[in-house]
Amino acid sequence: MARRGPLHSAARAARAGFTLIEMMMALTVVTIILIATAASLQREADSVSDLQRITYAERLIQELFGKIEQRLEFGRGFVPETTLNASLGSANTASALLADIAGFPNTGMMVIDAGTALEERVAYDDLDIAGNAVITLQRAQRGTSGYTHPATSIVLWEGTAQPIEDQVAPPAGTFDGTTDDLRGNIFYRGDGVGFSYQVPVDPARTGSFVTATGVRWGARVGGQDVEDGAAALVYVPVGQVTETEQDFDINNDGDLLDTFDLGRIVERAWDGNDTANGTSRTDLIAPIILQEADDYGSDLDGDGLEDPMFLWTPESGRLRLRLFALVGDLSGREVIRRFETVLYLRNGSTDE
Amino acid sequence: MPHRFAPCPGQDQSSTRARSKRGGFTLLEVLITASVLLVGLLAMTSTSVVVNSLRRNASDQQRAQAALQAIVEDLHATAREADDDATLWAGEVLAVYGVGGTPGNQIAVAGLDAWQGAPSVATVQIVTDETTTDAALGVALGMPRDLDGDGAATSNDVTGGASLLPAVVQLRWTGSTGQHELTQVVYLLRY
Repeated sequence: MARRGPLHSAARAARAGFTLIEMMMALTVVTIILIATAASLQREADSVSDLQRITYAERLIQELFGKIEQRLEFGRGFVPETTLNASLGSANTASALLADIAGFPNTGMMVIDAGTALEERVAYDDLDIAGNAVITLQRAQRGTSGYTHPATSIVLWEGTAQPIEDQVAPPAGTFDGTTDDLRGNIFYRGDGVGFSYQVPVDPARTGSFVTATGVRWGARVGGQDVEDGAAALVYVPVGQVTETEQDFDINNDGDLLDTFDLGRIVERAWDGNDTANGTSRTDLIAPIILQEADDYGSDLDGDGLEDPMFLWTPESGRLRLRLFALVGDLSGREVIRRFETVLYLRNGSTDE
Repeated sequence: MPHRFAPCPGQDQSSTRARSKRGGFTLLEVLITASVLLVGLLAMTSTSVVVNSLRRNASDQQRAQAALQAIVEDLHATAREADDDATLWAGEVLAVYGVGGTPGNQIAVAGLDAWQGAPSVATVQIVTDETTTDAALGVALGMPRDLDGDGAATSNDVTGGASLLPAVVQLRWTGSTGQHELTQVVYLLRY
């Protein structure tokens, strides 16, 4: 084979650059590399962004769980279930007399005659503790109608969800939903959007929560320990999102028709002798918690089972927390994450 | 002072002349440049992959810790809810967290993958044999010990009379950087 070196070099030098084919080949190689790298970087950036949002939401929720655990560690939970002490007319917006208002927050929503044809949700603005009444009522809330309720009608605070006694085959109307749990499916009553409780307090700073008669129970109201005070963790909506606007099936139920409240968990505390002596409110998390509007506690992950936020079992001191957080949107899609934990209240319930 | 980058006489002028005569890059030069660029971009991508993997690991770890805490708290609640009769208590706890119970002693954790060949991410082992040792269990539980309050650690099964039940909760999951494990020991008390 002839030696081509010098002649070839000379020809190349004379050519002064590369040919169109060489240039096209080089450009093609470089373009492919650039496109592949850009696509890879974009995918990674999306993934990192997704993870960052989720990590941020996880941190917020873990902080919330930490705050709740800190508050409830030595606490005891209420079972806010009672009866009307006098009949409540359908147009009465002044007050409702209850047999016992323990555990009902200073402002909130009650459910009267749950599971019956007379079921009505009634919001109230304050408590008359001495008179055992909730006052300043807004009737027929959350899609219910106003009815006249006879005395002895059962009244629940909508916040607490509790397993019902019959877990085998409860008749319709005796429960509000079924939720999946570590212990299998549980039939429960209530919406599960809150939990009321008391903690040991030491108002006089004696260094002890205990008196000769037992533990001094109460709550921190406005930063002060108040004996006989009480507190509640409640879901408070701040805004709304709709599936139509987001073009995203948030609760995975196969349609884009639902509207959701976006809210936060708030701690309300009040003086248990008279709310005029003091109430306080502390926001525990940014408004990233989802609930279906007008259907609190409903299924949010499309598994066909309800998802109450607070499921309280007084007999065991077990409080299950389940939250769905709207983490943000990524590439036009909402990212929703479910967070769950179980807390054990060593002091059980006020009913014991 | 002469200019710092002034060409040396002869050599640089001829080199410049040759380059201007060539008037472009060779294919080899372009490919070398592209390769250098590619290596740089790949390094960036791999850094991003590593960061991503670390974030995912942290997220898995947080999820595992939350699940572990939930199981431990639920064990306490189960122990509290069980019948306080000594002959029934341990049996009722085992009916929940023993083999065949609900949730049982093998529990799935959403979002975490079990170790290869393992039936689940979380396992709960409730110790009912007073004579078993820490070495046999692989954790520091203070075993053997008296669990039924009879003053001796000789019973092989205290299910019919336990006052104290040690339990070991383990979470084993496979993450993006390999296998991970969390273990917590808990003592269940009969109320």
